[in-house]
Amino acid sequence: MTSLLARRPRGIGWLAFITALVFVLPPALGSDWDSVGTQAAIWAMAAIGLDLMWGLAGHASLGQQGFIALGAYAVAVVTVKWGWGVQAALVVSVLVAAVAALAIGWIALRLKEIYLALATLGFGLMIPTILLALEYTGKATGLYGIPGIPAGDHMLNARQLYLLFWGIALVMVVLSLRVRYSMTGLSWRVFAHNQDVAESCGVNTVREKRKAFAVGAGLTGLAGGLYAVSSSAVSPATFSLHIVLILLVAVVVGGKGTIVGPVVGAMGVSVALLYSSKLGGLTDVVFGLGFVLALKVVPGGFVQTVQRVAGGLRPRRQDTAHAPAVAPVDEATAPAAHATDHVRRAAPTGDPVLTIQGVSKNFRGVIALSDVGLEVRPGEIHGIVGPNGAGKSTLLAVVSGLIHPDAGHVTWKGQELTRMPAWRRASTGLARTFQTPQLVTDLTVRENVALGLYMSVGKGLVRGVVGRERARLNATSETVLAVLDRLGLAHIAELECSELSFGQLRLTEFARCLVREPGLLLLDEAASGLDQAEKALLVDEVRKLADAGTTVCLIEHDTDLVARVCDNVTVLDAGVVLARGTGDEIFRNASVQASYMGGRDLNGRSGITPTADAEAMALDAHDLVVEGERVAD
Amino acid sequence: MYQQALISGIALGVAYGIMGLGFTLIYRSTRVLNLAHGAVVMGVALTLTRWNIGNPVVRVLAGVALGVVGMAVVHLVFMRPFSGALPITRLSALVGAMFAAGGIAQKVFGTESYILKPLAEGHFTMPLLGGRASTHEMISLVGVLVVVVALSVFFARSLPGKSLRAIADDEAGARLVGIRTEFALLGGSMLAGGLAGLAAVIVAPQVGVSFLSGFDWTLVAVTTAVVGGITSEWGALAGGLVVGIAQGIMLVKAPQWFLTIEFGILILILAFRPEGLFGGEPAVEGAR
Repeated sequence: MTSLLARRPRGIGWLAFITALVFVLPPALGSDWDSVGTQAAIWAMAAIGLDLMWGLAGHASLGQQGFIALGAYAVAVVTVKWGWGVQAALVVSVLVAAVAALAIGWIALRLKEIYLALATLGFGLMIPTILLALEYTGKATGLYGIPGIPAGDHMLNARQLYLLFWGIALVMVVLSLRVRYSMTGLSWRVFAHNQDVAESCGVNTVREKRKAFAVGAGLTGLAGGLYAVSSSAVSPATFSLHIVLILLVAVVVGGKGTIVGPVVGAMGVSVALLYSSKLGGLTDVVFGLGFVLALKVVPGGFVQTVQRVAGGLRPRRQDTAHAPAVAPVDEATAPAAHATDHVRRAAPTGDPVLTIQGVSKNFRGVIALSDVGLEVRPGEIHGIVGPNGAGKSTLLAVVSGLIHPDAGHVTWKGQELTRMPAWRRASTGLARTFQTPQLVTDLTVRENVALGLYMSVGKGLVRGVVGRERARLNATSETVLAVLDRLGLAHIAELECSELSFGQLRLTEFARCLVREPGLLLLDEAASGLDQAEKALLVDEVRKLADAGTTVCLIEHDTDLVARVCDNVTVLDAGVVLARGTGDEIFRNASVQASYMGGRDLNGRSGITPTADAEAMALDAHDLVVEGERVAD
Repeated sequence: MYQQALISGIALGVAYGIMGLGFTLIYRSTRVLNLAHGAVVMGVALTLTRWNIGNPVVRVLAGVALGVVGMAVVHLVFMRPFSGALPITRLSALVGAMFAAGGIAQKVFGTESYILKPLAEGHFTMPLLGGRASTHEMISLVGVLVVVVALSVFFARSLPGKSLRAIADDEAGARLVGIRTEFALLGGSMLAGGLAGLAAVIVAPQVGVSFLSGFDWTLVAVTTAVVGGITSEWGALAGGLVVGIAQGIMLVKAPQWFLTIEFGILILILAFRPEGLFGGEPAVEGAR
């Protein structure tokens, strides 16, 4: 069985390529290249740090020189001033940078991405000015006399230092690749693009962002520490904004988010820096313009471009190897599918498990929900219908925790959900889809669906790196493939979501919920955009889930489908509950027809007496007011 | 002592305010943090030191014209090609622009620092406050106030101003109602460029200019804009005064912390009042 997150983790070939370059090239070129190679290793480590923060977790830092400076000065202070050993000093350099990152993260990770970039920019520029002002760190002179790395009774020479640094860098590459292909890495790549999806799958995005930031900064700090060791002196002027540009170039030109790309980029940058000294003042011009050109022309970077070109030469296995597991049902056979699902299920009994009471939500004066009440029984399929703008999606967002209501309560299986953060609701069995399918377009179908297993797969960062998570992932990948197979998506499992049709996107998102075997499933516009065959599949799966005890709430505009599938239906209009009852009752209700179907019922007749009065249906309001509260923490 | 610190702080603050103003102007229409703003100010200031124009009015006009052209180039080369990209990509492209400009300036003007001729010679003693101010600083203060008033009227009343606000809110929507967004955005950038040119003739006589000034001034503009609340004209001016006065005091009390205080203010504001001291759009994610 292949691994869950990629058929064959990319990067192994590149790792071999880098290793070969490192251990063959500079020794062959002669000892002059040792120091260049050592510099390259330091750049590579810092670039990996930035790639973890930016490429994987989506938060660019423009203050990497701050973390490098902290790492370098930590080593300098600890060895020169305190007389500790170099090894201990390097550990300190990692910790100092990571702690600084946590502090910056505490300040800025709750801000919009762009403000975070500003905060890191300020941080990176501030650190050298502090070092410049402090007597303790030697002001502008800095600190010198940092010992080398001892090996027995002598210090490592330049060649040995080069080999050691690249050894460390390569270990870093391997560990970072393991992070990338772990469940934690997957969750980072998802929230980098779409925070709501990650939260709805149970990812505590705030904590994970901090983690990614601290880990990336820690590696960057280590790069700084090793720089101090290799140069034996540190001074504030070294840590200028140029470091940021060089690292941005390494990451973007090499291939953001690939880990190996930035390492290749760092090697290229080191060589370019060597030759650019001949350009005089034009180094910045070449780097600056070259960077912008790379951003525009090869946004995927060197590594991804090579992969794409190589991939284009090979025929696409996934497209041809598997026939679709479920043959597309054409229109002629579709009615048959309808006929079989026309058997009415027994109405679910039992006490309501999902209770919504008096929920109101107001968006800057626009009333989206006003005193909405709803009760759903275990195993019930509950339809929510109403015209556009009726508040259906807002109601679902309130239940799933992406929006906090101004007033009212939501309880699920006796637990008060109202103020619970969205990610925590996933552990109570809640899963949802979105009105427009929310998938990360540059991840494969399989990877997107795999995030649904976030709650059940061991997801710790450390476990992902050193543990046997891969074995567990292999076992659970059966689950993913089985679900994809059931939904007729097995043949596109390895395609990126940017290549899918709308219906396939919708089913993929449904699959992400299915793999979790949810207790409460919320489907927003469950079937819109699906063809007849896909609708039949969906209906079938929803029924199976409900029979197995899952409670389902679905928003859908296909009234025929709602009438057939749903045990009960609630009609919303302008944020209030207009009517509630079985599908048959509802679609014969005159006020529903008036608001939703332009005054005509399903058979084109009009003017049937309302069975229920909207006023009487609404539940009592609870005067709970939550204002301006943050959704996720 | 402190009166002098206050006066030189206000003088700095006025110059900072006009930089922040140009910076917020581009943010308001494009949602891009224009990290090349300081570079344009630097480019204008360095060019003017070469041209050596005697008449101050002509110098101001030349500065404004240079700024307009410079920012148009930045817009066409570093902003428009990335108009559909992620915010962070757009920001990165401007990092590239900032360095490219610094590199070109170093090649053309070398590493020396130049002082631009002030708008007027002479000093006088401030009434009430005591302490000495230069005529240049007074003219600048009045000039900047006029510009801020004009800009608030422009955004509140005029059609082009409203168009820019509409684009900031919803670019596709603005296009649908018939606003030629590409044209309008270029116009917005050129307006910001004019302000950058104005900033150059104000600030370069006070603190001098070298190829490194672009970085410093971009950071000044960023800090000023964040302190003031990134979408407000008066906020930008007030933010400039806060940063300028803080630095003025530092110059007197502890000059080695002169730069640290600026970055410290930036981080503290982002930490505790990310929407700025004087209101502005919320900078916090997820609050719905």
